[in-house]
Amino acid sequence: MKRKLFLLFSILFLWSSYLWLEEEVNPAWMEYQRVYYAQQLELTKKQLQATTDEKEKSKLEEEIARFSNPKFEIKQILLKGTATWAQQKNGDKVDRCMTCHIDERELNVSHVIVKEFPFDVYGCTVCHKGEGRALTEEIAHRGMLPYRRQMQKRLTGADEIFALWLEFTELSPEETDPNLNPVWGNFRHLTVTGEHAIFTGSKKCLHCHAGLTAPHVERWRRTKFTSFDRVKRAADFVEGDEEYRKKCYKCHTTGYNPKTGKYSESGVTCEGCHGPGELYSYFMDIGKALEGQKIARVNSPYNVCFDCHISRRHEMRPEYYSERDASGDWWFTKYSKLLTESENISASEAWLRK
Amino acid sequence: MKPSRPLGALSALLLLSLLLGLPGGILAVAEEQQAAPQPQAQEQAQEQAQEQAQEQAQVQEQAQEQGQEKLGVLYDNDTLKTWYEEHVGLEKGSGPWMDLYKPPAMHMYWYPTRHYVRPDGTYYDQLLEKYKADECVKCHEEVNPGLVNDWRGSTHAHPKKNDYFTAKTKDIERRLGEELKEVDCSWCHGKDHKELHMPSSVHCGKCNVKEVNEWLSEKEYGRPNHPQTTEANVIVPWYPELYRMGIGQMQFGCDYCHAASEKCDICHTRHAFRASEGRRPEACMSCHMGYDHPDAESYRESKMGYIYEMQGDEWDFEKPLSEVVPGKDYRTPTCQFCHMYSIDGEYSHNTVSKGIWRMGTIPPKGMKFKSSLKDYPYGVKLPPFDHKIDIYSPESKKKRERWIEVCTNCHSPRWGRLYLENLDDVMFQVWSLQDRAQKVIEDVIAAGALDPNPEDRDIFPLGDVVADALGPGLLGEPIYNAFKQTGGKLPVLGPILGVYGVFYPGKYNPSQIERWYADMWFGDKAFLYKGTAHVQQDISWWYGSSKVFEKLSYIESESRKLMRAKDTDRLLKEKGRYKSIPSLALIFGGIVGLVFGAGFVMMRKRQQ
Repeated sequence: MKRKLFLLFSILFLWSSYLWLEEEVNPAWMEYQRVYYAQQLELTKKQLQATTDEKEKSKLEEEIARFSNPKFEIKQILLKGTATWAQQKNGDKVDRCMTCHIDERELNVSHVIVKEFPFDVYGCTVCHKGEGRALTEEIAHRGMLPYRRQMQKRLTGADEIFALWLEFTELSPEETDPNLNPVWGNFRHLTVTGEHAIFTGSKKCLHCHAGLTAPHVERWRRTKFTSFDRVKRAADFVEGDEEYRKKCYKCHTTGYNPKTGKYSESGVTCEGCHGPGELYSYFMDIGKALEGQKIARVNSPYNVCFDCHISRRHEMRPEYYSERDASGDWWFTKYSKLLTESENISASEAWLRK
Repeated sequence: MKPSRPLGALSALLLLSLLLGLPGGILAVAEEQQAAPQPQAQEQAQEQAQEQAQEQAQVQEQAQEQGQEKLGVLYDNDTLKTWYEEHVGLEKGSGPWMDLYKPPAMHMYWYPTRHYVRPDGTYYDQLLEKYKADECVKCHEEVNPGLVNDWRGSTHAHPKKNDYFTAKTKDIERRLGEELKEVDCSWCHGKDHKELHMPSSVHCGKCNVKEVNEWLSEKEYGRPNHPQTTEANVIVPWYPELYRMGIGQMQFGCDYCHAASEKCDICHTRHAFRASEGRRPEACMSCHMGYDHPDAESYRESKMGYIYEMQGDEWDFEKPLSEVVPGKDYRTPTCQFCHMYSIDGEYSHNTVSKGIWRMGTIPPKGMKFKSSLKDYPYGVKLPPFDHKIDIYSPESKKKRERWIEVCTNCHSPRWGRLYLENLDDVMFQVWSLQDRAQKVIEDVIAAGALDPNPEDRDIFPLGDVVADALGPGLLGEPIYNAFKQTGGKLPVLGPILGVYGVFYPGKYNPSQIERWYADMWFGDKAFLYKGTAHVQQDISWWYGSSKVFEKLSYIESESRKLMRAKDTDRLLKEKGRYKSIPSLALIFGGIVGLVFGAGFVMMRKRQQ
């Protein structure tokens, strides 16, 4: 009897060991990699047939050698950050998503807008959530936000976006100089999908704020933030090519993107100082104005002024300065011009009095 | 202080600002007056304002001149010009398949730039004995009194009929450098019967620069749009295929709407060409109705449409859209009030700049497809079918902000945003069903169960030439190869070529299941989309969702039947029952024969 029992348990033990070993040797993620490498192999073989260039050929042959003898391994990104340590959180964060989602080209296609996004620094879970360390689909995708519609739903309050910015900051300590960017580094322009928030245009803001914060809006209206109208008429702007004009756009427009050379609105409007309006607009629309206010407080406009208000900022226009006579009105606002005419004082004096 | 002077100046300025279309000018004047209470300063301020206005006028003029240069560029490259603009009379068609069909005579009126044929002009000399060359009206009043009288009531006949149009006309006069007493026949049709032509949007743009340029700017947002409707009509392979089959003129219904590339009178009917008519919803409705874009039905039957129907006649449609006060001038939005509010936050003669779902026919990004929809556009490089629609791209998000601005005229912004998100979810959900249907049919195709089989049917429209004509570069390697190998005898399903199902009567092509799919994708989904977007709940449900469900159930049960038929065929072949029937009969007959023979022999023996 004892012998029979022993035999039975031995068989059961061996059987379970076999199952365990099989799972170890041939895990689910390996299947994805196998399929991927097989595809790549086929593709490169086709390319090899098509090419005639010798250099290209040897390169492709190398690749074929690599793909036909692939190394199956867990691909992971160690998400480090000093802040994580400082806050005594346990251990590094790890994203192993790329183990299964191994086709980088596919990722680039589906993430076309965040092309510049350094996946190797921030990983996937910072935006998409889910369990980065898990290697089975069921667990890894738990609580995941697969697409932008779902990510948008995450945005129930300002704290959510703060958490995202904080996570970005933690993950890239080298990009976050606390002296320059006291709160959440350079990430305050990001929306909940990790993309650059859009500029909605001042019309949208003024819809409510012309009444809500009337004095502030009025002050903005009366000052020279509409300087782009003057810039448009300046001789060197009219004559200058687009490359030259870009120098003007930087400070005289709102939402200027140096990469595309396009801007959202002429003149310095609300978003010029307060940052892109997407999040404000969203919270304002859905009836959570206070959440928007929280973000507005964090997005302090004070450190924005000096991006433009620097000395010698018009040094690129020497011809203009040499031609400009001392009483020329380009430099002075129309109010100081009124002063010069009604009180008969020099323009520079009027400027000082203002 | 004389009260009359500033008032006069003010009204002059008002006029100026109206002329320039700058309502902001009025505000500026008011501000200047507040800022400078002394008469002297006031005068100065006014002078300054005038200077500014002049400067602005210059800027505007420059812009318009630039516009003038740009104008006439309906087709901006040589290929398109030879396809659509080069005059060929009725000898050739339009577009890439121009050699494959000859247009019927009426095309000279739908697409005059390319196809107009002048009437024989010899009789004209005789007419000239009685009439002078500039007396078109005198004669035509007798021949076609309707169009002449219609023109008589138009702004073209009285370009300075009120202050608003006087200002506009003066603007045009300044640009053209001549006085406009009336815009008569010769402006649009030529001065002589020997030079007779039909006007196109380019002709209209000579005077109505701003409008036509804004209308042309629709092209920047990609198809579907108005300036490219002609292209959309004739570029599809089934268009010439139907001519090849000898039934091309049955496409009259397509031609009539798709002439909108050249004709402004699609919305501003001739010969009155009223802007006010273009501002009424009816201007859109004769085209935007029915199967694939039930805009008219969904708007008209919605609460918005009913309010318009009940009270619209009292509204002032002479007012430009930018001056319309919602709730006061219009109690409910018209098509134009929402769709012509452009991405720049101004009213513009561009109806597509806020389009996000673009008729809902192209699969969206941001959802997981199980069928081959995940691979859309399958390598095709033909815009606008070369990419999935991105609902949450920065451009689309900006469009959404503008939509909410429109909604907020009458609703709370929360209502607006949630309604649009609701529309998104509706669309994502119906696309998930579309995906389900596509997967079902793709499984049928993969099993070879499609009946009739593609080999036994007529080819896909132009299937024999499409591969060579477009090449692997435009079609993409996989589609190109498929066409090349099969010679066009292949099943084509789903966006966008799969829509041939509702345009083509090939023999056995499409089969029932494919036709249902095309209906679901092109027709029923449109009812759901438009019904939801225009807030017509019954169209959204009974003609939209419910019909989509119906087609899905048809498709799924049909797929079972097809698979079972295939299975039955297979089983029959596998056991060889077809082939064994003669040999079985032989064996059976042999046995029977033997038994009978033996019986016969036995009987014989017994008898003996």
